[in-house]
Amino acid sequence: MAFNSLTFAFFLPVVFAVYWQLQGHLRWQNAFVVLASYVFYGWLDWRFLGLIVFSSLLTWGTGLLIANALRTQNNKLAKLWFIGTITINLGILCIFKYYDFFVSSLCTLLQIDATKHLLHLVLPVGISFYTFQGISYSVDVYRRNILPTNNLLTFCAFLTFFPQLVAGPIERATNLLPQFDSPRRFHYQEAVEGLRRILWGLFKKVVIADTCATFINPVWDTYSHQPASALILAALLFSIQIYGDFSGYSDIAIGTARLFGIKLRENFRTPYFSRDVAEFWQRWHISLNTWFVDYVYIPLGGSRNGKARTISNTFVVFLLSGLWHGAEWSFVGWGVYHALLFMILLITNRTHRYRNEVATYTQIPQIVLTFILLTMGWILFRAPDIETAWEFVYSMCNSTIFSIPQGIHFTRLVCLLMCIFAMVFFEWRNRTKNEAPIPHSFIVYYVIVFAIWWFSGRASSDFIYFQF
Amino acid sequence: MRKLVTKLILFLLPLIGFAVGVEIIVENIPNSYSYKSNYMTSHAADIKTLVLGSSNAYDGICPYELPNCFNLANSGQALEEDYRLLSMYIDSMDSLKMVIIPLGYHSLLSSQTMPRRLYYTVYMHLYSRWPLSQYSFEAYDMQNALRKIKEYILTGDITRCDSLGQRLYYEGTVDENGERDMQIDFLSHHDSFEITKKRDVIDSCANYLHLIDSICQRHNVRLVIVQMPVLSQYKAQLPVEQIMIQDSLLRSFTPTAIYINASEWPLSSKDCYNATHISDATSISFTKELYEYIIRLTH
Repeated sequence: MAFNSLTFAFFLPVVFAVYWQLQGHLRWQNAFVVLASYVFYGWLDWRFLGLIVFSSLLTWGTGLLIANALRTQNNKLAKLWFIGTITINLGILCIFKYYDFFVSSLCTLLQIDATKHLLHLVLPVGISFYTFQGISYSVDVYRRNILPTNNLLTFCAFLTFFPQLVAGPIERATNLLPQFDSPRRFHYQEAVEGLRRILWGLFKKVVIADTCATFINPVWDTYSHQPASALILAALLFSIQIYGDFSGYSDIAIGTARLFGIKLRENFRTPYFSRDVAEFWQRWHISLNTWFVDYVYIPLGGSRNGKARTISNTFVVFLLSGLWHGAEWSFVGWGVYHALLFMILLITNRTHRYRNEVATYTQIPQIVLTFILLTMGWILFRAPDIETAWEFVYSMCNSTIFSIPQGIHFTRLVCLLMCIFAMVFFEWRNRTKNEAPIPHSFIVYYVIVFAIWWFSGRASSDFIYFQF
Repeated sequence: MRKLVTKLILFLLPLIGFAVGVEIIVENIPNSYSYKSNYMTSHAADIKTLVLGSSNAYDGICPYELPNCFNLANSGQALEEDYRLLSMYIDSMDSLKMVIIPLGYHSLLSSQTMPRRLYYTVYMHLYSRWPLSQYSFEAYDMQNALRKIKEYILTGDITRCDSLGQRLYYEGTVDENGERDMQIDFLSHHDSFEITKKRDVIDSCANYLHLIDSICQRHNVRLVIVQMPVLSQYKAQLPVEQIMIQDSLLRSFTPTAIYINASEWPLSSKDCYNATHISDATSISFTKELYEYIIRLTH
């Protein structure tokens, strides 16, 4: 079930009530979390419940075997188990997500008919997220960063915890596992902060992202007949949509987890207030980017072996990040585009200029320039293929740039722009804090609830990141 | 925890009260769906000719030109809903002689009409309200619900059909010069399909048509499937394969049903609301001719 569905509005209070009734019974609480998570996942697509159970058992079991082999100094055996579990987990991901893509690309290259060789498998929801979380557990056990858990229930709760199961944040065992291992007490203030975070996330998803989509989708469907002004508007709004959609999801996930006494990692830190692309990548989808840094970039040598090696390592990370998002050349193109932007900063030694400081008013021009560069990248992300993205960008550069787009509901657009302004205003004011940026006021809460209600309608859409 | 729950309930109570109020008001405003449902409940036994289908039928079949006819079609009504409606009322329609299903070139592409499912749930009782979803309440879509209340207060009526179920007031889209826009490009693009990509939907629609056919056979009712008139420029833009597939699929019903392909019935833009919807004035002459043709075929 999706966070923005009526089903979830009934599911959450029931799970919350039962969960806290079990306070003081850790094992039962964890068992209930696992059960609730399976129901949550099964509601989305029950066909792949078996896959997630298999993945949990495999990762948990091999974690114990790796630790056992390491304890007996049998490093070869530990390596064997480690390679085995990574291969199987990645293999499942590759078969479901990338098999058709690579086969059809290969067939195109060899100019042979691909139709007979394709599997046409349905992509299990959230497979990229929980597979990466499982891999991080195996790597951490193999590197002796953590001790594996003997408790299968605790491990399943860690891997399948429903708020972050289908679209992250991608958690680390070092953060989440100890929380499921220790007793949890209900804290009123934590729960209130969780609810505020959920409310803010719903506002970003339903009011901002879904309303943006109502302007963007018709333009993309008929982009060849649209004036440049409509294409530019659609491109700018997509930048807002994807942020509202994904960071909204993360806010709801983090808020929901807090209701259960669990603190998830932050996934976004006002990324559109970044002053360059390097800073953007420290603030956007943080859990995925740190995953790539810790498990790909650093093992490849990171920045320790000279500039050329640093550049190639960075390129690999961006390429994989693009591919992680989807088995399409447009995602690869998106990764390469960001890699190229990053290279410029890397070559000129400007990748760490803004670490740990927040933007000021005088830096707004840099923020705007970065936003424009990011928007160009999002065109590749939104387009079904690279050719369409190119045609879209090409069509943006003609004399119709000053014409008024046809068929746009201007009152609705003005309402949307006001809501976007409110989001930017609140987030700018609170850009140093990891909490819902809205004031503690019942009037504000009512206004937000009504805005969500007003904009929701029946045409609400799935979260974009569900497809990854 | 008690403090949180109490505060939450106090916070939500006014919202729930407001939602319930809106729901009660909107559900009690008469509309085309509730009108058609009430009509069928009270007049089903008198109906000799029943028209099902989507907007092509809603606009294009004039019930006054057919014997004891009621137009039960509605915008975006899919074949699944046609089947469910027929199943629901067939036992109470003792006089029923003929069921007419007019189709457009989009009809085999539309599975269930999800956004309108609400109306079939709340007013026509085709689906259950449980488990609760966005299709269970009017108040879920607050913007639309308040718009209906406002329109009802201002006009006193939001029913879009006449007493025998044909659509009223539809004028189509007007272009920037104030002329009626035939939307030829838009509609032909929208209604075109690649057979391989839509096979499942087409099969499902064909299955519902078979189910309707078998109900008609069981009750000794004549089924008439009509490919509705469209502007020739629109038809010229559809894939030839699509036209052929739809035609041969509908022709396959002829052992038991009557299939009339009226897609090339002479039309000019003056006769239409847009490329696929004939106007109410044209619907009179078209229905008259259609009925005469059916009579000729059956005698």
